[in-house]
Amino acid sequence: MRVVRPGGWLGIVHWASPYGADIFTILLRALRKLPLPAGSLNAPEITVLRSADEFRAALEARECEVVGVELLDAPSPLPAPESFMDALDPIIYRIFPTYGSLDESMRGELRILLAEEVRQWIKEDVPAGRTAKVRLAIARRSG
Amino acid sequence: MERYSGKGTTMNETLNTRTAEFSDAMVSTYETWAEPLSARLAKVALGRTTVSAGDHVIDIGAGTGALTLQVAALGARVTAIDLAPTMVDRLTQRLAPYPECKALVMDGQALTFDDSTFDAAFSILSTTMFPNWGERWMKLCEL
Repeated sequence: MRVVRPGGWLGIVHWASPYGADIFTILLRALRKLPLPAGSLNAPEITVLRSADEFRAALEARECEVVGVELLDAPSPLPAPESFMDALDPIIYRIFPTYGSLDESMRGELRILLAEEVRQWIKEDVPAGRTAKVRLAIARRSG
Repeated sequence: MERYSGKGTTMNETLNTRTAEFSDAMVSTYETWAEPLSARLAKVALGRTTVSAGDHVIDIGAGTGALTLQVAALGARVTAIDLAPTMVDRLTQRLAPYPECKALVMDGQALTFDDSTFDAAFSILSTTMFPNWGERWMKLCEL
């Protein structure tokens, strides 16, 4: 079953950065500085990223004519350093089990670490172009 | 093939099992801090196609409508799907000015549409929300 008609468009955007969005990279950097028990940090990482060639091959194998696969910069908007943790708490609480399991003392430490990491991100990583990247694949379904 | 590493739960397993539990606070946070990036990427993706008024478009993992709302504004008909009922509720509110468009709770891996229903399909950063995102990405190629 193909829900797109022959000649119709496919547009797929997928992360091309190890941790996805900038906010998750910043969060993981801060979590790694916490004195967590060894082995307790759940640090999800995309260990193998699909290359442009892999994207293209996968689409062509499924009867799609690839128009293009491109790498795009994908910097995230960020809350202010001091409010980073509280502003994003509803999302990161759900996504990172380690974060959700921290006690109040650890959360306090993390809030400070996150503010430091955000400042460093803005000062060093953004100018150096280390913000997140994505791949955009555009294709048309062959007849 | 699963491509994530990390101890315990992987990022996409966590997201998938918890996506449907998105609270209103999470939706609000997502809309504020995640949607702007998705909207920018959606604009680029749309600009690479000829999608226009009258077309029927499916948005997989639509979230709060980063791509859907742009397509609707073009005069195209959009069917937006997402696993999270709270996301769909929010997007339904935002689609009120576009009666030809709708948001549905549906698993992007188990679509219930007929062959050739759509002129275009888009997935903006939705693949990491599913288990086995590599397989998920391959499924998108088959839309």
